[in-house]
Amino acid sequence: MLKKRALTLFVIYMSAAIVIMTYQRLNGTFIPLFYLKYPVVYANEALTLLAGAAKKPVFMLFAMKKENARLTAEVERLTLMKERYEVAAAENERLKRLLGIKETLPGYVATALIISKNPDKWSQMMIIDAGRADGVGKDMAVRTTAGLIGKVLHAGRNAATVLLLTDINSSVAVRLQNSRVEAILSGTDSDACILKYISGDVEVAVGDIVITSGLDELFPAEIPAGVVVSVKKDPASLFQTVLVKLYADPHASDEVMVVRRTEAVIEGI
Amino acid sequence: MKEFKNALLWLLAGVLVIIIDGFSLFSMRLNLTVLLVFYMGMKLKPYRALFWATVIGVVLDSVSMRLTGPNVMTKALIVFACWVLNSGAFKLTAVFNSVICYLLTAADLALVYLLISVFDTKPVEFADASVNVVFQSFVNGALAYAILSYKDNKTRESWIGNTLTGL
Repeated sequence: MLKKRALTLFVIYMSAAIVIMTYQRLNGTFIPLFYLKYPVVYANEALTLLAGAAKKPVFMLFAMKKENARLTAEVERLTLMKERYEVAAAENERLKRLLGIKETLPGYVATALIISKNPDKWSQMMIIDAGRADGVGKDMAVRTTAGLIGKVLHAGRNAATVLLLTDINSSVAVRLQNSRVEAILSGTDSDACILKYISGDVEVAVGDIVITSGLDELFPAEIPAGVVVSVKKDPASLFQTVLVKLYADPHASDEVMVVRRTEAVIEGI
Repeated sequence: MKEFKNALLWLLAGVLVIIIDGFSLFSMRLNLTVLLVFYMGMKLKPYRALFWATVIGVVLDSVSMRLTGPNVMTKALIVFACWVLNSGAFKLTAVFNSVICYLLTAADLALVYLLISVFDTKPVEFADASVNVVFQSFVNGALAYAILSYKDNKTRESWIGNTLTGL
């Protein structure tokens, strides 16, 4: 019974639909029925607005996260670039100073980069990248723009070993710039050097400048070596204990100049 | 009051489903209205399901701004098919329902395409239409399985609960 009713209804329904479609085919579509779409259209619009309003903060969050990641990467890249520029600018400044000194420095032999510092833990030495091929020879003075740093202990073909003033086996003939008092500057295996053989009755003040005298026939004269930082007089001793801080810090230098002894250099011209 | 609430809910479901059909998944449109009509056909009384199927069909035809009739006809066809299946000797498991939903979706799409082509102008190329038919049928089949198997489980749990209470 149910099947028969369903079949009848089905046939009527399908026939009606086909008749309606045929009618529309012949006479055009039913325009009034199109107005039925408006509830759907308005509902769709409302839902789209709601969905948009709900999605906006989420999208903003994702967009900001992405932007943040991009900016962080950019900041890292720029920081690295800045560091490189700063290194290059500092190097440029140092080289400019070296160039300026080179043009006015008598006995200039070569400018060298420091390859290694204190390769031997028992001595204060460093290795530079200039050797015999560059004119560097044994016992030549090595200095920075600030002052004397040591002497060439051994000159290889393309590299040389420099004995620093701070080594205990290093001694340089020096004088105090103002009082012209002669002395020997020796290393102490620390950052400070000691002025030897200054008589107890000589007035030495903290801040006095120490320069090479050239009397040892190794170092050119008038090269700044350091400044007096401590003076101790001992009544029981013939000599004073004078500590000198070097102008040139070997640990803070990258480039050095090798200077040979010439007549002009000897005379300190 | 309950009738009115139910009617309002079905209407809302119909509108929502039509709106969702406007969205794309993998650059392909969905066709959840067929799923809704299929569900109505399975769960509602036949005349009520037929009424709502007709309403959905008319609104769909109205939204398409073309011919009034193809969607009405196919949605009613789905309800009739469900009517026959429900009244017959079929054991309507979730998998069977899923297959039926797959076939009915394919039939709905093919028939709408055919009717529009016959009574109006061909809407899209056949190849494009066939890809859509396969995709939408597959989606509806999968969703029908998910929905109806969930309902089956709930019914089974309810039956077990009632039986245990009776004991």
